[in-house]
Amino acid sequence: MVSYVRVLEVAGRTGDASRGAEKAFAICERLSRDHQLDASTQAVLAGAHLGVAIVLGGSGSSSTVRKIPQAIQNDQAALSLLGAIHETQNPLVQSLNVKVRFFLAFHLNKARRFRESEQLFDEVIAAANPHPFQNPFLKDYSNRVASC
Amino acid sequence: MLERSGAHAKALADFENDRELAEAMVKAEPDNIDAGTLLQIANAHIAIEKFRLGRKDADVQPLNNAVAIGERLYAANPAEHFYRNLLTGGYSYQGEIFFLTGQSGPALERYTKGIQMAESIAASDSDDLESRLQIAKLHDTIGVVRAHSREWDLARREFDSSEAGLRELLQSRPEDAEVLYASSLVKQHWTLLNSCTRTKTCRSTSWPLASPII
Repeated sequence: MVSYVRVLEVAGRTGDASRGAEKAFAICERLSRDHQLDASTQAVLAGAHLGVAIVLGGSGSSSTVRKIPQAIQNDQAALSLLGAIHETQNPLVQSLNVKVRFFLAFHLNKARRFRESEQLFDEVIAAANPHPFQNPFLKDYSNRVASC
Repeated sequence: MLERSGAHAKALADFENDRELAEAMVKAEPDNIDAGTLLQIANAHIAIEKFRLGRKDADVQPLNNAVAIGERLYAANPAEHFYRNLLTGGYSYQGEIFFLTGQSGPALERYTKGIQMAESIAASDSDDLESRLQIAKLHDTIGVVRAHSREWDLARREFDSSEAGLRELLQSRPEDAEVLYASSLVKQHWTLLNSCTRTKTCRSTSWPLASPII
C-alpha cells in the first residue's frame, strides 16, 4: 500500500495519494486496536504515521496537499510510538527513528519553524555521521529528499 | 532549509557537503539516476548561493548543466512530477541570477518559464498546492523585476496576480506559514512600489525575494 501511494504521488495524483495514505493508516490503527501491540506492530504503526506525514507534508520537491500541521502531528505520533518501544537495538526501530526525526525536521522547516528544524537536522546528521557511506538511511535520504 | 531562513553562507557550506556525498554515491553507482540527480541539485544550489553571497567564484554553468540534465530526465519521463518541480526551481534560480546581475530581460524569460512549468503541474494535478504557491511567488518576483525596469503597471498586475493566488490558498490553508509569509512579502513589495513610483526609480531599493524552494 505504501509503495502504491508513493507511485501515485510521483505520478502527480496527489489527492489520491493523500487519501490512500490515510486509508493505509486507518487499517494500521484498527489492527493496533484489535491486537495487543508488540514492538514490531508498534514499529509498523509508526511507519504508517510516517507514510501519512510524507504524503501530507511532502518530501523534497514532491507535490503535496500542504497539510503541514497534520504532517507534523503524524511525525510526532510516530516518534512517540517509537519512544515507547524498549527494544532500542532493533535495526528497524533505529532506522525508523532516524527517518521520522528527519521528516519531522523537514516538515517543521516547511512550517517556517526554522530553529527547531535546524536543531533536529543537526541531531540527525550527527547521529548518522560516524559511518556516512555505510548508513542505509543516507542512501534513502538522498533518494527521497534530494532537494530540501 | 537554510536558504529559506536567509542563512546563505551556512546553506552554501551544507550544499557543498551534499555535493561531496553525492559525488561519492555517483562514483560508487554511476548508473544510479537518483544519485546523479542529487549531485545536480547540489550543484544548482551551490551556484545560486554563491551569486546571492556575491562570491567572486560564482559561476552559472553548473546550474545551467543541472537544468539541462533535468530537462532530459523530464523529457524521458514526463509523467513524473518530481522533475517538473525541480525544473520550476531551476528556471527560477536562473532568473534570479540574471536579475542579480542586472539582466531583466533574460530574468523575465526564465521566471516565465518557471511559471509555465508550475502551471503545467497545477493543470494536471488539481490537489497539488505546492505548484500553486510557486506560481503565486513567481508572480510576485516577476513584479519585482518589472518594478526595477520601471514598468509600474506590469509590476502592479503581477502583484495583483500573486495576491489573488495567495488569497485562494489561504482559503483552504488559512494557517499555512509559508503562504502567510509570501503574502507579507507581496504587501512589502506594494509599499516599496508605491514609494519608488514617486521617485521614478526602484533600483536603489533592496527587494527581498521569495525563495522558489518550498
